[in-house]
Amino acid sequence: MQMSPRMLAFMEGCAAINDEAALRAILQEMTRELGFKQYALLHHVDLARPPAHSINVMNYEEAWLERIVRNRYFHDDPILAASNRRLTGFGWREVPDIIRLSRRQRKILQEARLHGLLDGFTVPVQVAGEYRGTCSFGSDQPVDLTHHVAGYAQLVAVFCFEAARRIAQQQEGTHAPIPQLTQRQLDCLVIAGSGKTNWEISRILGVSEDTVRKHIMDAMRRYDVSKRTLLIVRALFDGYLSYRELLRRQ
Amino acid sequence: MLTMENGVSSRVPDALLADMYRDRKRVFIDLLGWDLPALEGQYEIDQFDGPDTLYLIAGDEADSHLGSIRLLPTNKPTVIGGYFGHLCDGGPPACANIWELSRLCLSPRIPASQRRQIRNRLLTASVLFARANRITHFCCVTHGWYIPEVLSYGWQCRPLGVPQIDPSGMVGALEIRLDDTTAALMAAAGCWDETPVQRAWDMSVSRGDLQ
Repeated sequence: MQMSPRMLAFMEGCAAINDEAALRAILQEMTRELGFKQYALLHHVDLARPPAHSINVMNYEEAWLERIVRNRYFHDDPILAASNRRLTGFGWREVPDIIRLSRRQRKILQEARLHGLLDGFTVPVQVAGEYRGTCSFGSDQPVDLTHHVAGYAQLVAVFCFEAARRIAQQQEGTHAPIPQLTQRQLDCLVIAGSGKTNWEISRILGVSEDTVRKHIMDAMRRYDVSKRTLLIVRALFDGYLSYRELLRRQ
Repeated sequence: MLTMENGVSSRVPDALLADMYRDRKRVFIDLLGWDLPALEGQYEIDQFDGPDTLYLIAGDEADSHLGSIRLLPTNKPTVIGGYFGHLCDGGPPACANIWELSRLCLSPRIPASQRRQIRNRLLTASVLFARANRITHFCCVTHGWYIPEVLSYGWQCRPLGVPQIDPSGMVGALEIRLDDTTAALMAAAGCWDETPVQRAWDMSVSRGDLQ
């Protein structure tokens, strides 16, 4: 199965996408090329208050987007939930086999159908140390998911996601440097991230509880956050911690 | 310690190479579940690890493996040529100026931020090696879910064909074009780090000085 000239041209053109308008145009075009009508390319973040460097490019109906945000559907959207269980793209008709749908999730799927989203294909995208994301293609008609469509959709999704990442990074302006943490601050943080209290951390590291508190407060100050949990999230994002390290400690 | 600048070579300790094969087993067989045999239950070594295979390796003072990557010219046997030609429109690359990258392995025993730093050093060293040896492209075979990672390194990347389902999941072949914009693209993506790594051939098959 050779790649079509259209796909080859798309691939070449991706590097030149430098703003959101260009990204939307190419997504619109490739969505149709793949046989779908709607697309949603996004990081899995709080869509009501999306963080600064997150991505969110969708052509879903305005009314539907408003409902998603107002009712916080993104918290347990069944497609996004299923994407956490899959490494590569999957059709929406597979979702009941991937996760057990709650009543609310069935309701979300039913409502989505009213907005032209009957069937679709979703590609999970994960770059180490960054928010999880997906690129979804939706249609108001049942979709015939051949290997051909799945392979092409995987490529369109990951190349568009990379273009979106690049745009998001550029929009930041100068990169805010990742705050430097000392080894001791990191030692405390890894243990804190697995749920231990300051007292427990002090026992594990063999230092006073005051010392632990100071290390963690210093780290919070470097990250300019007021909550310990935020510090851990940021440190995870910046690669100081990994999920594996935190889970290993429990 | 081999440096890229002055090309002074020395033997990479056997201990470091052995630790590399051990970490490859930990990462590719134990963590990622790849269907590969483990020599003596400890080492991941395949038919493409031979006396002509080039490795870029980062080790610490105690000769523990921190990270490594394997480079093979496509005019000799490669993973893509041997097993994944069907992923490439027009057949797998087969020329002296296209090299295959494989077994990018970062030690699971070091923290995430250090792993990322080692990864950047290895990718940078690969590109610098290519520049010094008139290599114009890299190619690789990767799982579909890993393609976003490869793209995130900033370099110019295109698929060699449509990804296909393999028993281990969706896999695809990629080609990376190397030119005088590559360093800047990778720097913009936060992946350029010229801190040197070591260059090694595994001489356990035939002894001799490294070039």
